[in-house]
Amino acid sequence: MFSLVWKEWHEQRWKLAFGSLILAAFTVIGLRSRIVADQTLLSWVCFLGILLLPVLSSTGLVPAERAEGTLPTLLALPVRRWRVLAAKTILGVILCAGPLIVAAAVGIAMAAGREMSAGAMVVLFARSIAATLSLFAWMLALTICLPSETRAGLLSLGVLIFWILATAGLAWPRTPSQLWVVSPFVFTYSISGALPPVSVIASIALQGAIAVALWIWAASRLGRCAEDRS
Amino acid sequence: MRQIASLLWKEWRETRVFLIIALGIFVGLPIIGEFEDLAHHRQLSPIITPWVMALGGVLAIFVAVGSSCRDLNGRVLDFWRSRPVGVVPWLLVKYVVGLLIVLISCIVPLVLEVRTRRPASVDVAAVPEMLLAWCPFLWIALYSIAFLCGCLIRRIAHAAMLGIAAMLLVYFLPLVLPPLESFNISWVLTDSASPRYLPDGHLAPAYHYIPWLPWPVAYEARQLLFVAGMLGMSAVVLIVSLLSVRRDWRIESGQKMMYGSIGSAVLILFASAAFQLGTNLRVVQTVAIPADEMVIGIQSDGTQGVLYTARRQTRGVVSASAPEDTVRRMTFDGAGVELGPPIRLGTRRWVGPWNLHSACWIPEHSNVVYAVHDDVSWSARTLHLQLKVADLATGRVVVKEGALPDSTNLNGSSPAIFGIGDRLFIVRDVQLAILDVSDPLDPKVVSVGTLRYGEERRENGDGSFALPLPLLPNLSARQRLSLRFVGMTPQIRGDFFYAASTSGIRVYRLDQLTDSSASFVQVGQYESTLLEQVFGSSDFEVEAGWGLVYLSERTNGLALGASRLTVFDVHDARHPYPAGHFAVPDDVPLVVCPLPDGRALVGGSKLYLLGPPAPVSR
Repeated sequence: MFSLVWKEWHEQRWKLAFGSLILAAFTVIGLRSRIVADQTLLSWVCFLGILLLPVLSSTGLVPAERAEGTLPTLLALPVRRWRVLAAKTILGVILCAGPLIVAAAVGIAMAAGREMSAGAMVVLFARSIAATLSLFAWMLALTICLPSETRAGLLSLGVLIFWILATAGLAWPRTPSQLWVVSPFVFTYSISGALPPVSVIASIALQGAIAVALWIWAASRLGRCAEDRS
Repeated sequence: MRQIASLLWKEWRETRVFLIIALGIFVGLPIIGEFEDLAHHRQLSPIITPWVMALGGVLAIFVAVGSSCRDLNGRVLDFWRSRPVGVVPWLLVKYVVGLLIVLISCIVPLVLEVRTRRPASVDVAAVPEMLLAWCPFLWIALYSIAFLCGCLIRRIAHAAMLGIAAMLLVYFLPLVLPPLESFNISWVLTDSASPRYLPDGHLAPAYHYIPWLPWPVAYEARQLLFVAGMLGMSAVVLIVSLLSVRRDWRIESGQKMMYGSIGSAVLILFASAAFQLGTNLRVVQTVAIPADEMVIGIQSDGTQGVLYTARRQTRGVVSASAPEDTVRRMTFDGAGVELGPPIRLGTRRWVGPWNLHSACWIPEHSNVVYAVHDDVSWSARTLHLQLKVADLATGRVVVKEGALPDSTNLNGSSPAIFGIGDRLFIVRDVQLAILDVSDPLDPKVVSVGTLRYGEERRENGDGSFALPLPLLPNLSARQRLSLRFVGMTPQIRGDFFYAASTSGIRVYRLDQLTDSSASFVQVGQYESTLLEQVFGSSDFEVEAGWGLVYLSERTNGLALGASRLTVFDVHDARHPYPAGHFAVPDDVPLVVCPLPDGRALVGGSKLYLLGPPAPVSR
């Protein structure tokens, strides 16, 4: 297992560095120049991370390896397939959360206590990381059998757009507020106060259950996809 | 020679589609847009400049990448290498034909716009001429860079992406790095748009007219650095392109290179935007006010003043009752501002939202505040206006009954109250009440009548206009000019009148002052950049200070509800420019009170005392 994780880390670490550098630079420039309020700027950073990180990480794990032709070799190793997927998932989680954690650290170091407290910043980024991981789970599961990174990217963008529109629909006044705990954006929408707050524990529990179910489904499909293509 | 002619013919055949498409977009689309205007003006006068400005660079990228990558891939390259054609002439023909296509596509439509233009205002007239004067050099540089990208990468999509990243750098890097300012196309265009003139109306000696244009466009020697820079860069890049193909230099483009180049370009773009807009003002002092209140008005003469607040409404929830207005005394000491205890003025249910005329503080009677409040009698459909007199020394608020007549017009404007010396004026719609405040705590009604204005507002079409003055007794024309006009966003300070719009600010100077009107002529203008318009808002207030103008924007663009303040330096009225900026994490509008020493009081969820903007060398 450690070898699998090391292998994925070796292949994907440049994405982690790239994402961290971009978000950190964005944070530094925005906080230094103060073109908008600190909360607005950090919200932009989180929004950028939520939009880009799940797409970049999910497309580069399984579809990219399938396009290069190395996936059958990997699956032919004497390792259970779910372990292979688990190693990729661990790296995916690091790719989604890492850059946001770096941006949070930079933001706290530069501007904690100026307009926002450090605690408020931590909460903002924690919610964003939760939303990012929820989206990553959906994208990983749905793109597991796609043959190329390009198709996976397009489908991931479609998933993103779907959830943005669905969340907007769930936010309709007549819709019971409990329904929108299904959306990955439940963690971020409640920040703005535009909608009634829902239970944090319920949101985490439900989103966690959804993510686990999606992962199990993806693991089962990984095996079937490999057999179909062979 | 026949060889060159053959190559020219071949390149023309393969590239002419770009010319057709470009002319279709740059000429066809504006003409289609002008059809609606044709019936009115009976003359076709397409506005092409925005299209060329926005898409000229992109066209250069696409033509260059298309020309270079088309014959540099795989077997096609092997074919050309097997021909008795030198690499240099072959590539030069490609380069020249593509470049001519780009220049013709951009220049011809602009010339068409100049020739078909209707007589227009001064600020619109010279724009296509300035583009014709300076932008071709920029397009040559962009084309050359994209040509090099195509020669090195030899994959159309990747080369185009890299070319666009390079285009962003060429546009925005000079904005970020001061040493590169001479290569900034915005600066070059702006400098030609507003050259300096001598008092006798002649062009300043430092300026000349561009020799390569049949239309008068002024330039100064420093702007030639831009031309030299663009042409020099193009020459170097062309040489590198020729060498790269001759020696078969290639860059293997992959995911990392694309991510890195696009990411770097976007970051530089963001940095340039941030440092253009983010010249933040120094916060000298922050004064907290109760969390459930927000600042709605500030009045001060620099040594003392008053602060008006109201209870905040929860976002998205309509308050069951109108906000209660509160006033606090402000005093300035060496350290900053000190607030006195709050004095409740009461609620205003009917007279409309608070504006800067809703209450009055007269410096000569600094211990008193006058405010107009209301009460509605639905049975009688009568609006009963009350004049409240707040004693800042004791905290008492007295209602002066009978100061204002009742009104049956429930849909009228908010009443305005303002004072000079011993006179207090209250206006609602056309009703005017004049009160004597010799005894500040006991105003006495002098007269109630109809407010009349001088002659109608007049606009002369050449940037000058005349404002009617209110006909108020016992006040000179200058005093009446100094009063804030009811409901008007533009502000007056001294002899200058400042008007703001989404596209920038305009400065007008007082030309003639009579008893009934004040005539102004436009003397200066600042056009907002694209970035400033994107970050800006159509919801703003202008406040004129002493050599500084404050534009308070309630942003509805990318800033997602935050409020911003932009400070313009108008010491040189002909060339106003943004000199400072301030942003707060509120979605409440920022209220500004300029102080005579260049500082400013800014109110939102807190009260800020801001220092003057740092001086900028111009």
